[in-house]
Amino acid sequence: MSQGKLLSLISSPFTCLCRNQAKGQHLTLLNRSLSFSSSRCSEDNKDYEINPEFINRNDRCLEYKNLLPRRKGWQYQRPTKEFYYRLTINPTAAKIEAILEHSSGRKVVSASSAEWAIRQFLYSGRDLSAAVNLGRVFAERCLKAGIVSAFYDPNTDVHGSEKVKVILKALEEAGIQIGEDEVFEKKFRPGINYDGKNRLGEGKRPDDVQIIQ
Amino acid sequence: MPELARTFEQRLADMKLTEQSKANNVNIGFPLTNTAITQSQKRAVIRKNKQELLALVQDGELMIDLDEVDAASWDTNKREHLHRLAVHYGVFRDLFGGAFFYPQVDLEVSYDISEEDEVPVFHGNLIEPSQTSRVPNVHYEVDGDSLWTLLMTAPDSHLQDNNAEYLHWLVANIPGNDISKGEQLCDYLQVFPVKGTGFHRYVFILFKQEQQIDFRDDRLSPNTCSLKERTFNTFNFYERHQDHMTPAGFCFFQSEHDESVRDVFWNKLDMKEPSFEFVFPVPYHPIQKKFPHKKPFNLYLDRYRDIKDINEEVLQEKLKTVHPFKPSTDPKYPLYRLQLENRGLPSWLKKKRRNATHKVMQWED
Repeated sequence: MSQGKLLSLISSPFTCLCRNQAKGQHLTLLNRSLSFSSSRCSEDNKDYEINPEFINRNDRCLEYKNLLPRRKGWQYQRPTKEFYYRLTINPTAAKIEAILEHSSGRKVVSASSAEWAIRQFLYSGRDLSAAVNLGRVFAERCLKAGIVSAFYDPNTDVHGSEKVKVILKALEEAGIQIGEDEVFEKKFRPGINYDGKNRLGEGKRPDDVQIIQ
Repeated sequence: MPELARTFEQRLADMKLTEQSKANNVNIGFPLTNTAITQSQKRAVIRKNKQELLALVQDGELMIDLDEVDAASWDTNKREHLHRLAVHYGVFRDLFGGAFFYPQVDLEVSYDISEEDEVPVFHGNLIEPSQTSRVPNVHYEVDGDSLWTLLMTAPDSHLQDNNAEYLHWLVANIPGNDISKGEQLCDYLQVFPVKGTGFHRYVFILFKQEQQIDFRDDRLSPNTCSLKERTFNTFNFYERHQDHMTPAGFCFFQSEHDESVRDVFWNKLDMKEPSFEFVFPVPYHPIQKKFPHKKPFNLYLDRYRDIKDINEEVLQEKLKTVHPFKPSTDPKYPLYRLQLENRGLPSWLKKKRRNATHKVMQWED
């Protein structure tokens, strides 16, 4: 995501911007004298200048580190929007559905016992054994998609359904954490750096309206 | 009025619509066709299951084979799911400028980490760089004679230009399935996500060729370690060959810094290992008022002080207790001493000394 560029109306000011630290020069010198690797190209990267500012375009990167702020403005609304990934398990009369949604509304992973790929191996599309197997399939799909944790709202399960519990158990067994960790927020420190970049008295800009893509 | 006003979701959807109509969201791959299974066929299978699986279900032991489900889903909905995941991870946006494609062929890539174990590459799973040191095994189903091109790029790793990619592997004119018989235009290089920059994506794309293509301009020097040579742009590469080549499959994984990345920089690329630190966005402060209403003056003034003055004050306080020749000793019972010394002082000064003793705010280090 490029910073400051009018890419779209939907843009997040929270980019994965990293700055270069001081390089460990003494360590590299030591290693040079010890390494005898044959596939060394000594001249090619000699003058390669590294940009001190590195922007990682991967949108998911900040979510793994719990650095991206979550959508906090809907605290008096239900269902809550304060998550990265939300797990929805919906056992209906005809089928059982499991959906993993991103907070932007995009469906990331989904599995349903009505899908022919799953249904052809089941006895029934809506009983407990269907829930067990759907949980296994859904957990495998989540792992393949690189999902590590997901938010689950227990209030959505009104009846205390056994099917829901069984799907959650399958996800936990696969290694996906139910419930996301707290966001890492920078602690407040007094003082403003007047020499560097500061936002003193800046007018409100469209970037401040954070709609996470 | 509530009847006319659009909800938040509707306003978002409208914004996204204008976004999509602007961008180059074109299907550059093959059309999506799913094999249709008739209702009667489905009913026959279900009827058969009702007889065969009853005993298992009653015992609660019906465990379906996940590999069979995966194989069956390829013909039904897996391609749409893969497309959805690629959109979610921004693969099409960053590599093809918004143009997308539905995978035609199931590209299976896996890295051997030992003689028995292998780590497969799916669509976004997390792999360590040390596991990617060897050339991966690539498999895809082919019918008849056809030529393919396999490409591995890193859209996030570029150290100079944010919008450029590094080319890790490029094999062209592959006859059918056999990667070893293809033309190695770029030799395989291990993944090297830089320290402190988080998870990088690494994308494998498989193109189907209509005919033998001359890749003279895309050939790099063998076993090249030059990062300048490996700088790549998938959009430009595809633009030049788009008449004879169509993207047919993809898979991608994510990787974070590891000790092996250091080896790559020191031994293979022969440069110093760079390391980065995440930079938080600068906080917003309103313009300082001369008479701020209902704001504690000490906290308000501290907020607008130059950070250099604050750091100077903290340093001076620290130096009061530091002696060049005597070893540093922490005072015993600091909170009790604080309580005694704070008696009779104004509240703002008490707060400041309490912060200093508890090592909070500017005294944290």
